[in-house]
Amino acid sequence: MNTLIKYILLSCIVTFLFTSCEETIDVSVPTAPPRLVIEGSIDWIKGTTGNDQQIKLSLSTPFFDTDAVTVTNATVQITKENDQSVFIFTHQNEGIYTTDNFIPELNATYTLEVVYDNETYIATETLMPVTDITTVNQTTEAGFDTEIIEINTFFEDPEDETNFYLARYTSTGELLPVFFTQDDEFSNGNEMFFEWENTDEDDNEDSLPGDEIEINLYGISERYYNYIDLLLEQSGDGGGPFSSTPAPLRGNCNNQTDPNNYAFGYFRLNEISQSTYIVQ
Amino acid sequence: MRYSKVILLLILSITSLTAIAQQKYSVSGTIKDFSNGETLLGATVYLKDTSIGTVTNEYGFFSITAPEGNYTLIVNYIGYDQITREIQLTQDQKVSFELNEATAQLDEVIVTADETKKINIKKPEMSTVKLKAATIKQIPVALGEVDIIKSIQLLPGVTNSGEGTGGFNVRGGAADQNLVLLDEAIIYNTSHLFGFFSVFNADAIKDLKLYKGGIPSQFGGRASSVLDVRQKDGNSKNFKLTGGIGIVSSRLALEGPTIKDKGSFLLAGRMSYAHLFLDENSADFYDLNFKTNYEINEKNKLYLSGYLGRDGLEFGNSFDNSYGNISGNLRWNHIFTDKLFSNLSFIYSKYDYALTFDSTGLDWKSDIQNYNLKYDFNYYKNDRIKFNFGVSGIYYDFNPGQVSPSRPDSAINFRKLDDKKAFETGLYLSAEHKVTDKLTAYYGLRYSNFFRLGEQTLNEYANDLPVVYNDNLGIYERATPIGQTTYDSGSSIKTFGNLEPRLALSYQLNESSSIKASYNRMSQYLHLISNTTSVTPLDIWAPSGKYIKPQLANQYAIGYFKNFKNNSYSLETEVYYKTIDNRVDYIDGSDLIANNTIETEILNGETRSYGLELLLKKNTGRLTGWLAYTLSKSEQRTLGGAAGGPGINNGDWYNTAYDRTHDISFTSNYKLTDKWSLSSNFVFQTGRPVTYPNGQFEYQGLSVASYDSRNANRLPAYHRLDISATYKPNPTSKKRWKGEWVFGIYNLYNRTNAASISFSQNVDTGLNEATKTYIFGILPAISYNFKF
Repeated sequence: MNTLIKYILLSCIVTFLFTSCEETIDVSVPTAPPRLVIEGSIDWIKGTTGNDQQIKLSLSTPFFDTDAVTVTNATVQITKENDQSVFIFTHQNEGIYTTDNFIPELNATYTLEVVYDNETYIATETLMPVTDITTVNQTTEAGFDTEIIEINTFFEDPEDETNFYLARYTSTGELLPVFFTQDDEFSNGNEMFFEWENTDEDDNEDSLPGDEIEINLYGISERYYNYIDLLLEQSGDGGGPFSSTPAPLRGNCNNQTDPNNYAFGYFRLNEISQSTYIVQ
Repeated sequence: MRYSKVILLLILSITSLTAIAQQKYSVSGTIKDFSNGETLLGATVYLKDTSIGTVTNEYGFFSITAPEGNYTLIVNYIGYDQITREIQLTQDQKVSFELNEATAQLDEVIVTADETKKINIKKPEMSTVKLKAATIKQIPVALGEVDIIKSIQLLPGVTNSGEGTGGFNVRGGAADQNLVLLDEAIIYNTSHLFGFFSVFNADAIKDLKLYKGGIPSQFGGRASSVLDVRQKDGNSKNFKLTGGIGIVSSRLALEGPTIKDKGSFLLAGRMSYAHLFLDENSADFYDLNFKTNYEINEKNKLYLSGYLGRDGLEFGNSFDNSYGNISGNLRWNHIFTDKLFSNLSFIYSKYDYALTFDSTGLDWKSDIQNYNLKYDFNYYKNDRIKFNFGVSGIYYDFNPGQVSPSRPDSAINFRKLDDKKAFETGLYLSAEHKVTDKLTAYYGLRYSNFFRLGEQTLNEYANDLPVVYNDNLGIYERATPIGQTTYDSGSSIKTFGNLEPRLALSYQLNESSSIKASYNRMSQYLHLISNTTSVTPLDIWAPSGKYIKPQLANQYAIGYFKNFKNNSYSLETEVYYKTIDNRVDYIDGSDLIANNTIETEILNGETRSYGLELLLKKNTGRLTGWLAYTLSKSEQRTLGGAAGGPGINNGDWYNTAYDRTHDISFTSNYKLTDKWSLSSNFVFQTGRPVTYPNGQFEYQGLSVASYDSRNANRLPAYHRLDISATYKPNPTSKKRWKGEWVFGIYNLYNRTNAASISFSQNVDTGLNEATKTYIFGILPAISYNFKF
């Protein structure tokens, strides 16, 4: 359904942009006190053991600051609820905590516990399975600009369940990864696809032959879908005339000590179908 | 002094006593424009040296009742020559008048204006604005496209979300709280091209009236305002062709008599040029307006009017969409007696939106349509009291959306959101009562009912709560349905009834000034479901029902009104306070489009707005125009209530997107010579409330902005100056062809007013940046208008 929203809103935004001008400006923005950021992303790529995992901790910073603030003195552990096995994550460097004995199990429930600054943060999630990427191809005729290459990722949606998907495209030609979300509300049981058309106007660097593109397809929970969808919407065009009022991003990492001091970020566990594509 | 007053009072009482004893007769008729036979609404008709008078109704009809005797009857309409007629009131009689436009007198002060104004300050009507199409056409506009919706935004208390966005906001109310009527038909979307232009073709419009408060009881169904737009009847004297060629669109209107002295018609069209603004993509719109009337006899007249407007947008191979309004109205005016006027209307209107996404293979359609039958009566009881009463019923049919595959290999499955049906009724009675010579009162009462009807299957939720607060995560979440109830076709799902009192008082302080006060209660059963800052054409209307309550508005206003300098100036000052209960608000991350269960995305909130409005007008002379200033506040709050938790935005009051602390407009027109006239327009507004990020965090390789309080920041102030000049090459020519050129410059000092400021990470540098979007910089325009 959110795909539909995006398409429809896109139609407004496109109209709007075609008739408007943009310029980068200096604005003074408010500054909130820092919050803990928990990047609890357990990625289990199909065909791997999934034993090596990492969790990243940092603090939020003023919006225009360029220096990241990492958190190095926290304790991090995950408990697998069905057998109460505990995986301790230890700090390596720059706020990255790792383990090499994580045991992934589809549909199992895990609980993350982070203790930082004498406050305990807890989050619980299920390890979500995902269907395989069947094909990746490229086209030019679709999309907004018929001269720009689209990279399409196809997969078969299982019919007897409601599914939510996240796709991540990383390209050797791009600094930042690109994310898309989709659910199967209108296309349950059908072949579905993600389409990435790199229409970055500023540098005209669309996907070029030779670019290596890595595609990760994640099966995600409904709650994480709601979270990441809002996050992507707000980081993409927060404040545009057809965007909704930006809202606080509340993840699932709850502060047990002081509920108002919740953490940013999310604890999620996903199976990933991965594919690499070289642009022709 | 005191004695003289007492004596005066005595004389008055005696006169009125004798008046009762005397036989009374009435004089009734219709007031029209001499040049084209258009009926004039709001023209003043009164008997000289008495306090007996009235104004014409929507169909130009008037009726005056006075004791037997000889009188001088005077007819006035601003911008027209006065008509004086001696009448002997010895029996009921009919007189009709045709007024000449007062073009020849423009250089002189129109002395006769004072009598008109005297009645105006007496009338309890307040918080209303009337604009004639001629006035609207003088205001400089972007790209030379005359725009009714943009022109009313130059009045105090009326704003919108910014350039290039549709809708308008009245006294801190939302865009869906305006009842927009075109020849009585509800117009659901007033904009073309997402708000760059409005759907009203000024060549087809006679006049408009905007009620910001003190809304009379014949109107109902919206919480904030009524915009009553009326199409021209069509010239009943001569065939006329008018038209214009502009940068955006061309217009053509044909009008003329159908059967001599019995009927006339108007047919007007407007069409934009395709490929507007865009290269390989196209955007265009068109409008068709139609109206015809036929006078069966002195007591019966029929009107048929219609409107059709459509927008089309196409973007490469990826998608195209189209949307538009269609409406029609068949009316029957019937005069029962000299004192009882009636109008029966059958009205249809529809708004639909369609979209095709070729790349995804998706087709989307949604619409709302209604059938409306209403019967209104004006009863001119005597010279002190006039009654309006009537009844109406509106049947709504909502199709909130249907998704289907646009081609055989599409991944999209067919799906239809549940149709919704509802019936809204209204019953009203009101009286305008001249209590004393100085005090006039308006009492009105409307009883509205709303029946949400089957057939529909609705979800049931635990404790009837479709939204629940997740204490653990501190967010509002959609509840899981626990069952379903199916309502049969025609059965009532939910019924609402509301009494809506309306009251207005006018107390005349002296010959030229008065104070007025009003109260109105309005109920609104339809809600435009939208969580975006601006109204978009795909926003869906939802009826009240099991989970959405009707909006209830209470508005109080008080004002001071004065005419001065021989009535060439007028000053209107008002303060208002308005509260609205059950204003729908959206939970964080709400998902509204193509959602069959909107109830899981919303909570019921409330709004409050208050303000001070000043309007100084210069009505006559070479220089005319107005200065408008509004100081106001508009806020909303949504508590968690039964759903638990603190509420949206922590349950705190926050600025609505249409809160503007200061709003100043200065509009003027100067008639330089017979050939040249100049217009200008200056606007200053406090910036729109927005939400700026209060920090950032790293997540999944992205820098993500964090936000907290809703609408706690503001865009920079908005201001601009527009000018235009109109050149008539041969103003005194006797030829039928009359042309004029309009040259305009919008945003003269090229201010890049922020339409929005968005915050994101630059994809090339990875650094966060703020990007300002602005719509129109300096924008010259030229258009040519003609009459034949």
